[in-house]
Amino acid sequence: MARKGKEDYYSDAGGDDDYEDYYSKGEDDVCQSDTDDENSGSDDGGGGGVSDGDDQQAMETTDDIEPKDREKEYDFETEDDVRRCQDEVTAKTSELLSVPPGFAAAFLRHCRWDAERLENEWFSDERRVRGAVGLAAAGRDGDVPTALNDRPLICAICFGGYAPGEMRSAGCAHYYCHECWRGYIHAAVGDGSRCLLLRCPDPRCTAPLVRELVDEAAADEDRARYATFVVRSYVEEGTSKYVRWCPGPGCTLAVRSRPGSRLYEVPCACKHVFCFRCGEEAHRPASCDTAGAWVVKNRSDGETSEWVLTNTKHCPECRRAIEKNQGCNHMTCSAPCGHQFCWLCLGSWKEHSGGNYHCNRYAADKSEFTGEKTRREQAKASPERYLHFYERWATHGQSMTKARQDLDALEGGGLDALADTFGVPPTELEFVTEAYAQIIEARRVLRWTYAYVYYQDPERHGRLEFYVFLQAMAEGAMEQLHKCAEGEKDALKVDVGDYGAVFPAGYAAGKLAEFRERLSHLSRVTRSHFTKLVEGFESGMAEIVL
Amino acid sequence: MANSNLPRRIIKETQRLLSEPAPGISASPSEENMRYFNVMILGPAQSPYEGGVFKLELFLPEEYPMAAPKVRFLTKIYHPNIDKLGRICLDILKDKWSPALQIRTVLLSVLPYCLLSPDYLIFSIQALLSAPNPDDPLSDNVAKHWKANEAEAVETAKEWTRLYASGA
Ligand SMILES: [Zn+2]
Ligand SMILES: [Zn+2]
Ligand SMILES: [Zn+2]
Ligand SMILES: [Zn+2]
Ligand SMILES: [Zn+2]
Ligand SMILES: [Zn+2]
Ligand SMILES: [Zn+2]
Repeated sequence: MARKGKEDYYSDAGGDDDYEDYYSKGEDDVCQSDTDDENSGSDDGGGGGVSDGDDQQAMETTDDIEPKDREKEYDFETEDDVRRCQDEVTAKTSELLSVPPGFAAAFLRHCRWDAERLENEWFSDERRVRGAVGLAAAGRDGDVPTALNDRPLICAICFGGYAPGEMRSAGCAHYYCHECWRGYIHAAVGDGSRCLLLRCPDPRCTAPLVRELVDEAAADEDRARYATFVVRSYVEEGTSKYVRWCPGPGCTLAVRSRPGSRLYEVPCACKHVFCFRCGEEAHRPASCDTAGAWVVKNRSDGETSEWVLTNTKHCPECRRAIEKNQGCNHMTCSAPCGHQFCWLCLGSWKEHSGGNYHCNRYAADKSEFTGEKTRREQAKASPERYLHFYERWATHGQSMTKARQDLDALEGGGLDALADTFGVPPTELEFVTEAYAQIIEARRVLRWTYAYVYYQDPERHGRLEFYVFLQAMAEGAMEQLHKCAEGEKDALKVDVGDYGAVFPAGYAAGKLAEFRERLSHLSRVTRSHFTKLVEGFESGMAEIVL
Repeated sequence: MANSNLPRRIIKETQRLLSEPAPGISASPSEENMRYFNVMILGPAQSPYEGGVFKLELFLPEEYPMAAPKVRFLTKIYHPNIDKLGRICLDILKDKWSPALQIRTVLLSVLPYCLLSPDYLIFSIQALLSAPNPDDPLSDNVAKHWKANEAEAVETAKEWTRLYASGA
């Protein structure tokens, strides 16, 4: 049971040393070619919430920097930007080692794209480095990535006879016809990144197949796919942790962290917010280890947890089927029932405010356990306990997605329409989009607190009480905020839109002022609860009891 | 008409298999589909499969030779790398396949060797043990059996050879 102080709370993601190393090396190692690109800023809707106020780790080093500059601790790059950077490293290495670029890339890949490491290994034991990628010592003509036949031969793949110049090799003595090479590369590329390890087809030959040969022999489409695998390898297999692909769905941007940056939660331009260290969705206050363990668990328990995500439940009062189509978990059954209940626990909503909020608490965690280890383990491993946490983690995730969609809709014209209704410029309604941004962030933080608490020892009542209390306060506040943003906004729009004209002048303005006041108040309350939540969780020790 | 557009390579390979049969192995293409071969292998001497006649099927997929031939034992066999459906866990039939290999290479050198020293494969194909295929626990069990008690496993293999491969 490892305990870690706050300092190295995040260090167990594996490779924090690399991270530190990298930063102490200075800028030389970083290809900075395109980092001045101004389109690097995110149109970051998520910047206004929790992390601004309490991003402690960032604050330690960037205290005096304006938030605007802090965004520049990372840059967004397209695949082409990354490729340029990779080509630059490859070209330099090729020159330094006097080998064709394709071989340089193979060596670099072997050294996980660490040019310095390759340099050291190469000059201390060139043969070993060559051997590692299957390349023999350079011949009379130096290193040859591909050669044509100089006499008639039979292709050992299709058994056809070919004239001089109609076949090629991977620099070795095994010549195959163009069509067979094309097919060979096509099959390998279809197999995924394994194509980067491709060797001469002869089973006894280790000659590596490199870029030059692929460029000559492959079909256009396969050449492009091969090139993509090469770029991906640079980011995914590289040891330096300063560039990462955004894991957001459909996003092809890479994020490059600036030297000296301590930020680890990156809001990508595509609006996905992810952890720069482990690549998971941003998961504060859970550590990278906790987040990783949780994701793995969810995957392996996929079937058990599937059913909790159904979109239909029944009103506990009238048994009518209720579908959840809003982000908020505060459900109101339709008339005439009108029962207000909680989507998660199906309890009455009356019990979901302030100090009465117990929805987040797993009941068995409260009950008395003896110190007997087996019973404790049993309780911890119980499927109900897991499902309790999983359902909350997943549902807050869905609500987050819903809020994200709502925010997109607002930014895509919804806010303008709302502004029209009230007869004010859209800028006056920015508090609505700000509230949504906060809801999204709060949902994300909250969902990861469930992963965090899941891994806490259920027997440690004191600590658990503390977490569960913070969680309850934050969750309660956030649900109110979400309810207000979703429900009151729409109700108000109908009210003012339908009847505004018959009311005296100033009616709409008055209603708007009330709404603003209320939403801003809830925003403030939520913000303060989440600040406490994150602080409280992060000041506890990171501890996974497996 | 799978046979009308048969690549030259397959025609040549087939001709050679028929004109230069190897001792202990026969492979002949089916009349309806020239990509489908009926194969018989004699169990190698000094192996638990000695005296047995094993039937296999070999199929050349559309992508052949860029993709490996598909080979399967039709005769029941007790072998750590062959599951109960007769599928063979052999690297060159999977990711180590190279188009420069041929049907001949597979049938003449690889399979007899695989039968001759089954325990060799147990250790070279650790993946089979570390990531057992839940669909066919048999091969996994056989492999475990082989590791735990080789003499007994060999006896079982002989027994199975007598029972299922005695050419009756
Ligand atoms: Zn070769
Ligand atoms: Zn050819
Ligand atoms: Zn992205
Ligand atoms: Zn992380
Ligand atoms: Zn109802
Ligand atoms: Zn709610
Ligand atoms: Zn509840």
